[in-house]
Amino acid sequence: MDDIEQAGHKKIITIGVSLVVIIAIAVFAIYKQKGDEVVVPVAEQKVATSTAPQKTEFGINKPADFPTDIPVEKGIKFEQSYSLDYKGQKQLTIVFLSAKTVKENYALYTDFLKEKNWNISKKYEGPKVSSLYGTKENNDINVTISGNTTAGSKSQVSISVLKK
Amino acid sequence: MKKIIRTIVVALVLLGGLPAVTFAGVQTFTDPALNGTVANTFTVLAGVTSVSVSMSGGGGACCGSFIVVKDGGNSSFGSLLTVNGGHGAKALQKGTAGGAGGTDGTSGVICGGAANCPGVGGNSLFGTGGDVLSGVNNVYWTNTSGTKFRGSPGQGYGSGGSGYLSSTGNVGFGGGGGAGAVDSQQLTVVPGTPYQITVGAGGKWDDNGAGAGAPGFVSVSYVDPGMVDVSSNISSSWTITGPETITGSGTSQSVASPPGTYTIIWNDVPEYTTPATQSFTLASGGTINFGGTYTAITCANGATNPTACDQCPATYSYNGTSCVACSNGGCSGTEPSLICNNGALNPPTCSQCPAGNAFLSPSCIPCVGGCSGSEPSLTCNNLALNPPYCSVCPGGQDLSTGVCAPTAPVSLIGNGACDAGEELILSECGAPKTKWWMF
Repeated sequence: MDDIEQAGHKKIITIGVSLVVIIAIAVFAIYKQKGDEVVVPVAEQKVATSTAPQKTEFGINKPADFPTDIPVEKGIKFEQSYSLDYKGQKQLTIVFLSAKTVKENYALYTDFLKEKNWNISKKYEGPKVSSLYGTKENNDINVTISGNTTAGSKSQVSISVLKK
Repeated sequence: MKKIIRTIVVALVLLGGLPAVTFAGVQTFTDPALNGTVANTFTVLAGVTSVSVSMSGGGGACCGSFIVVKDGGNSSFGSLLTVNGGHGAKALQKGTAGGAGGTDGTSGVICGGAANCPGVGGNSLFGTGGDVLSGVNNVYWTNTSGTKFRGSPGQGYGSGGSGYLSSTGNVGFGGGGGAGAVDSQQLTVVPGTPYQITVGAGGKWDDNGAGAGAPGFVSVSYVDPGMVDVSSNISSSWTITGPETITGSGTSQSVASPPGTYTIIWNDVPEYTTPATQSFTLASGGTINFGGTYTAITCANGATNPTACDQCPATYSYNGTSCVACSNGGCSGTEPSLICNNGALNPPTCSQCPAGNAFLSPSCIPCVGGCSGSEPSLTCNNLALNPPYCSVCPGGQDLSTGVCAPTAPVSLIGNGACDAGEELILSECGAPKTKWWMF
């Protein structure tokens, strides 16, 4: 009886291993065929993530790794300062109230982005909000300026840098 | 059995049978039959503002004439980008390139039927020109079997066909020129817009394909957009900045948008606190959600209008600084139509009564028997001294007659006259005094 059972087990194992080998050959064949086709260049692809990013607060300080060359008004207190960790990229954000007007800040950051060779891909000047969106190497930057008269200020500035 | 199944699963995983998830769209337009111009439409997806285009025109063909040439067709992406086809060749002359990305074919020569008599086709970025040496035979006319051999067609996309020999075998025809081409050129496009795609055909002389230019192609690729979602607890409005600018209003919004970092600015709603600005990064094929919570502003003094804080809720009165409840039994209604519950005329104190009434805290009391005038000048109609009771007459008077009047003699009290047989003596009724000793 034991001999019969052992023979049965051996059969099953043989079938299983054969299946694995067949699948391996099939996958190899498919990849080989794809290699013979004319390759047409495609755009760089990003993998989407569905998990919430991890947020780190920095209180009264700028986020770690926030670019030091981005102008930030002296003597201000950060309304918000945080980083968001996404898969493959990191967002660094600061928000502060400014004594400059929306127009003045818009001009300031436009000049800064141009001087530092950011490619400004989007500009917006609306009745209440103005913004600049730029890219440089593997980074993006979003500068958003809105009117705000809280505590004697004239505008609110939000700057987010995306490092990929 | 379980062990076997587990083994198979592990094997599949190790073989990498599960491809990585990608979120790029690609569409390629070409003519698989070598000849014929393919025209199509590429409609940009919502949320896509940039595409990467690779394309070439059709390659130039070799020829069968000393005069006529057969150029490859142009390829184009709307009016944004066009590349030219390679130029055809003719006897002894090469076909030139269609533009950057292509190369000229080589010229044919006069020779005795050697392999180098005809010219080779020009290359393109995506194809290799026809090579006479790899052709079946560079003899122009039929061989002993009756088969016609011609020059080699271009390989891949946009390359020129090779030349071949004249019927005499002495004159070599040039190779067709390679088409102009571009590789991964970024174009800014408008979401939802259809763009006409034209694919250049390879030049050709006949249906056998000898010396034909390779067909052109157009490949369009783009990064899939993600979704920007917005929700607000009350009807409001907002502006979202980023790779694209989005404005919206209401309580929700959902917009397909290109990947990047977005920032929302919530607009003010009267009598509500405005949510703080937020920033999130949108991945290709992903979703980000901006959620705004507006909170109603409350007045510290109890008023209901957070802007001025000077309008009080029902039954309360604004005294210049705060909302106060009515005294003396409260009020009903809302300012300016506040009414004292005790009938008084002056909320919130409610202590001044209408005419004919006296204020006896906490109420307005109508006079007994009526009064005229208003406090403090209230007067009992019965001439009594104490409104609203109107029950106390001035000294020597009483209300026996209904009004305050001098008090009648005791003996007159009743019907106001002496009984029969009596007479009024010193304000009293009594028996008449007829003898001196009765006084």
